[in-house]
Amino acid sequence: MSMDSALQTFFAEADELLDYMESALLRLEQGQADSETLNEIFRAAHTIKGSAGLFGLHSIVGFTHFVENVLDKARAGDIVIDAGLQGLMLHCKDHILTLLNDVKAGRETSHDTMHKGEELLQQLQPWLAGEVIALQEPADQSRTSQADSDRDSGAWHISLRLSPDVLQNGMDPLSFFRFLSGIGDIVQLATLADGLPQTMEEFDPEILYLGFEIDLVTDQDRAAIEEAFCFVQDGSDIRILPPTAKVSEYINLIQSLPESNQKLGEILIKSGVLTQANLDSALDEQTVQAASQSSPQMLGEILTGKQSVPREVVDAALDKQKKLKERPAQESRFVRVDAEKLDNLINLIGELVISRQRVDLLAAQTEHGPLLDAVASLGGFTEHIRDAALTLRMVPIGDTFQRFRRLVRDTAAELGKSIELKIRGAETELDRSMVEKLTDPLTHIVRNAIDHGIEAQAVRTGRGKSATGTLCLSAYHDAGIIVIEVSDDGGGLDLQRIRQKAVANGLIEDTANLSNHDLSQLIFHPGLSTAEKVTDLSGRGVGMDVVKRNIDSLQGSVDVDSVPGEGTRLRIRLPLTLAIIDGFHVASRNTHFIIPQNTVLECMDLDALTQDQGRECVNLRGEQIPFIRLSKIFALPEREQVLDVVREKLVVVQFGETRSGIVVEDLFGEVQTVVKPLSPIFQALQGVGGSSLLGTGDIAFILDVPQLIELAVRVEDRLSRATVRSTAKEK
Amino acid sequence: MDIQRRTTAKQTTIKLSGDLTIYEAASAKSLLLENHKGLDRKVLLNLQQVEELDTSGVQLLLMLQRLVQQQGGELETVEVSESAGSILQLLRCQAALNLKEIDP
Amino acid sequence: MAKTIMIVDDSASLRQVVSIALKGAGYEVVEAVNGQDALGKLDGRKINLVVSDVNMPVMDGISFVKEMKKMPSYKFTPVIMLTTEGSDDKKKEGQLAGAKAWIVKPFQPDQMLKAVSMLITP
Repeated sequence: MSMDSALQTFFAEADELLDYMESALLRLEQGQADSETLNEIFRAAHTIKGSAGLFGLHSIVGFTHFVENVLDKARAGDIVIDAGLQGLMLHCKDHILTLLNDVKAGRETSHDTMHKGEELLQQLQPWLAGEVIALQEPADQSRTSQADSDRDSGAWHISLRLSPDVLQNGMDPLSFFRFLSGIGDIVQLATLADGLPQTMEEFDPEILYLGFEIDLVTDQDRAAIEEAFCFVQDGSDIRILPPTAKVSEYINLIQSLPESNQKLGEILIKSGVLTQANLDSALDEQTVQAASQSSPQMLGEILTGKQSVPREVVDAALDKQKKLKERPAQESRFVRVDAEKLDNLINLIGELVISRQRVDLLAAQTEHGPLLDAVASLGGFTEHIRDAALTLRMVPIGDTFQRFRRLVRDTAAELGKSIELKIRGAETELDRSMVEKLTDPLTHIVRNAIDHGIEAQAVRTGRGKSATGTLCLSAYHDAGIIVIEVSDDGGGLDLQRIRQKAVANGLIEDTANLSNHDLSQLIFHPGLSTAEKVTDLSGRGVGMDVVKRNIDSLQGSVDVDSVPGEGTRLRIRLPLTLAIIDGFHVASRNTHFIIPQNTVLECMDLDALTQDQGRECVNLRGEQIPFIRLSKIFALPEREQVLDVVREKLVVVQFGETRSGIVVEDLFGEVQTVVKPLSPIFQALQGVGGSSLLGTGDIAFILDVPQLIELAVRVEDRLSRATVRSTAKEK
Repeated sequence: MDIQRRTTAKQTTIKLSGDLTIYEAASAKSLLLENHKGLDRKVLLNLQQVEELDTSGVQLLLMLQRLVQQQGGELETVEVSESAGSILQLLRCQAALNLKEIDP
Repeated sequence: MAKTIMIVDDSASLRQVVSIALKGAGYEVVEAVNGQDALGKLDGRKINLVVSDVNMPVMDGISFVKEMKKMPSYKFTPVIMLTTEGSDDKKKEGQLAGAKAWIVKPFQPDQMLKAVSMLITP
């Protein structure tokens, strides 16, 4: 998911770079062959190749590599881009675009395209002196392991006398040891302080004086060990002896290192690679060197000798290595799963939860003790499974935030503003389905902040602010919900203008006494736009009311805080998932319904309210509220026996700025509801968004409040027109 | 990095606190230079308050140990923070710094 | 405390991929689009490692590293430079500036993680 979004970024970036490349190539035609232009062309190819490599897009890397090389030469002044090469480069740019489009479309590169690529490279040949051109998949970069002769059960010995300046370069030997611990097991390590100077005055604390002797048990080869030190090779003395090293090689090592022979000998004896006898004889025989060479003794032989302790150490370490190997490698800690499969799993678990509740009920009827216990424990696990499955679909919001970097940069540039985007709480997780639906409202909010929130540079400096504005996207969890904030250090809302507009548009009374906070919230009211100038960015006819409606449909809420001259902060609160909602359980004609709790304003007896004759509308504290009867719109069957007089109840719901009433007979109160989507054949059904199973085993339908409100308003409109007509006729 | 030195008739306690890394190395050295006389006795090194330790810091401690030894004293590391302890363990320097207890 | 890595590259997709990989391995990531942007972000916050491209607009990687190494809080911060093969001169210049670790582009996220793990732990 996140890599996919990175790939999308790459596509957009590559398109842009190819455009730059083309326009820079065209500038060459106009005689503008300065180093910056040449560098720009080079950099486009360079960046495309580098990023394509990250995604394993070999076709693009392979071809662009040669283009880049030619451009590198041009940049260095080794060759000149004449008209011929310039034309060829434009063709190469087109070819990269073709390759890119193939990848975008998920197509295999066609034979024709391959052929075209080869042709272009042939034409580039004159500028690629000496380079072998071949458009093939690069060889697997992973190391082909060399002859395994070095490998043996036993420890590698590593002597490190690193370059004295490694510490200054920020390289701490500790990190190399930790890295080695990752590829093997450090069974011995000795820090040698012999190199330290004699007095504190001579001691330079930023110079490395220490030496290290290490025994590493690993099933990796020499190259893998050497790799740990690849960044510190310059000026360092690094010796690596394989487990198969001969005694003579150790003796040579001892003699060539700066520390005393006896000291190093002791370390090696401790490691178990040498015995005291080996050492003594070898040191004695310093003058008779031939002797040690004539009887090459294998390390293995020494290890199986009297030194039984190290043998065990080595065995234990090898064992551990094996176990580590059996565990999946670090890189595969993450498994990429098709999102659809995940959704499917969660739906199935929904089914499981439902049938488990059914089992619950049936089991309860049997009054069979052990069965009830078993069912209870099954129930517990089912809930755990459901929770665990929901977390599978949780993704960090960071990737969504990251996407705004580009938007901020581009939009700011377009407006000539300078804006820095800060991201906080990128690791905060929420349901994947929410993330997708958040992109649109967030985009609108961010655009608004850039467009209207953050002032032009001149205005900012005039106000004593830094010329660069800051936009901050942050997310955090708060009591079971996720809070997303978009804040800027711009001018803040112009409350005076909001008030004027609101009064002018009849949203509030001229005399209304509203707090600044309440006044601010009016920006979410449909049609209120305070920007002096409608730019083509956020003033595209959709305002903050659309944002609010989007957020509402995600069962969330949004509000705004603003300090004049200091900035604005929008705060969105959302549930962590849409799979479980707080619902209000009602019933009509014995059919159960769930109304999303966040839409419910209040409940009351319908009879207590004044109803307009012939119209589906009540007067609630002076406000006309249209309503619908669930029994009517869903054509529910009549109750068989009406023992008591049924008192109808009105549930007042709100979506956006519109209120309406839903008339039911029974109110049961708040319930936690697992949302089960309707199967596709029911999706055309108006007014119902899903279903859920109640504890009683009854099915409840989850009402789609926005649709119902729309329905209620439409029906009421028709009725009121009809009433007006009939009244007119009577007269 | 901060250094506290307390001397009694019998022994000197040197207590280091804060980070002891390459970034502090130069200032740590000058602090030790001011305190490097009169170590011809039992010197107790307390690393309980050391937060971050790297190879340069360990090297500095080994240098201190050497100074004590040169003056005929004896250095003993008495307390060590968890983070510093793990570094000394990785570099196998407990013995060199005479750290008796090794917290598992 | 998680270690923080600064990634300096003008390619948004490269930053994104590297950043996903590094975050996955448990590091905090700070992104910068070129050397100048990166210098601006060296505002006293702790940076344990810098990964920087060489060829970038506005301020290139080598000038950036040279500047960074002058700052007391960052003079010992290790640097991994991203380079293309065949730029030996650049490499020498970079090494003189204090950037000793080099990764050749194009690279795979795994290679980057490996190189990072040679220099710091999460």
